[in-house]
Amino acid sequence: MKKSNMAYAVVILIVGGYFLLSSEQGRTFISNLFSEDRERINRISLSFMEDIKFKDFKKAASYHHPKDREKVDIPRLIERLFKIKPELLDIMDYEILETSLDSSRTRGRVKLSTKVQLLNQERIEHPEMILYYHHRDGRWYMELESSLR
Amino acid sequence: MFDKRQYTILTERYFETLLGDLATLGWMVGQAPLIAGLIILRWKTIQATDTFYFVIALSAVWFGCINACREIARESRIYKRERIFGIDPAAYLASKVKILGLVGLAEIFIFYFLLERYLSMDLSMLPAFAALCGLYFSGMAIGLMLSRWCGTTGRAVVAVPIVIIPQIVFSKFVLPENTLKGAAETIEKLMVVKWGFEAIGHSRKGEVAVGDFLAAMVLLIGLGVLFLIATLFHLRFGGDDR
Repeated sequence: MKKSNMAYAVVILIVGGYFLLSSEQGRTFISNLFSEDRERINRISLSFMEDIKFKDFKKAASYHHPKDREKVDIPRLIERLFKIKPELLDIMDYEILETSLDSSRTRGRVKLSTKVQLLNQERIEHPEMILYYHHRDGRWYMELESSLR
Repeated sequence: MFDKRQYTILTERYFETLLGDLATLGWMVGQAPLIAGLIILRWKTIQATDTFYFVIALSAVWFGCINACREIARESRIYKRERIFGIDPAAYLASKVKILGLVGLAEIFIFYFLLERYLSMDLSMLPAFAALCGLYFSGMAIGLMLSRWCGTTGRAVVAVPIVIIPQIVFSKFVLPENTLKGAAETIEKLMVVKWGFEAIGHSRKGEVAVGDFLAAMVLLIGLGVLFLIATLFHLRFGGDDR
């Protein structure tokens, strides 16, 4: 192999490795080689964010344990978190910053960064939130009450 | 016809020459952390603004232009001699593009890594990095063109600000955009920073517009290719083979 091609390969590997490791998708891809739990709670988190972006609160509540679903009042929790009525909140973007599981692998948390516009103030903010999960009855369930507090 | 064998030999020769001059290579790559450090100092406490995106776009063009502006001129005697013996101008130019592209990839990576590490950039990683690489490529193409058309390293280095300053003068940061009329409007469209800046603008988190981003990238890279064609034209018909 020519020296210049080798140098290219090294630089591309470093750049590619950095992009892979610095994005949550990349980290999840690597950790998925050993466990699928991270991928599952990441997927739930992204679906949850998409649901609240499109104000589908019923679906957003469905990620909770069946016993808790009726208690979940997502509009009220959003109002408490962002100090704004849900209809005045425009969720523009969100991304997963970090996902971790505890040593027993029955509890997990996903840290997200969001970009939101407060429509009545024309202000853009970047709040972060953590979604907590418990592994119960063979599935991952979100613990929203604690997540948005 | 493109001579692939010559291209391989010239690439390796240029790469070896660059490795043999580590001080120059150090200056080339080292400007990225230096400029990134200054930008970080300025924007550390504030949210990234349009001015910030413009500055990083301009910096990437600068890296490419300053790295390339001496590279053909300093070998003009060697090139003239080798042209008589049948060197392929396209292979010669392609070897420069490949090695300077490698330096640029490393440089833009260091630049981007530091900015992302210390500032809140609000940019989607891959498109923003691609836009900076595109800006470097076009800057490098301008640098190679200057290097060839100016003839000497001295004149080429002096010419760099002459092409960089219009990138600022014909931007919307000097005067409001609606003041760009007539010839000024046309000149603005030939500025690589404009298209790179637009590509970066379309890379913002939550606002990535794939179509607009790609259109800006095509124009940015297209301008770079035009500058390379101008360089190749002079390399081929510049009278070195007589």
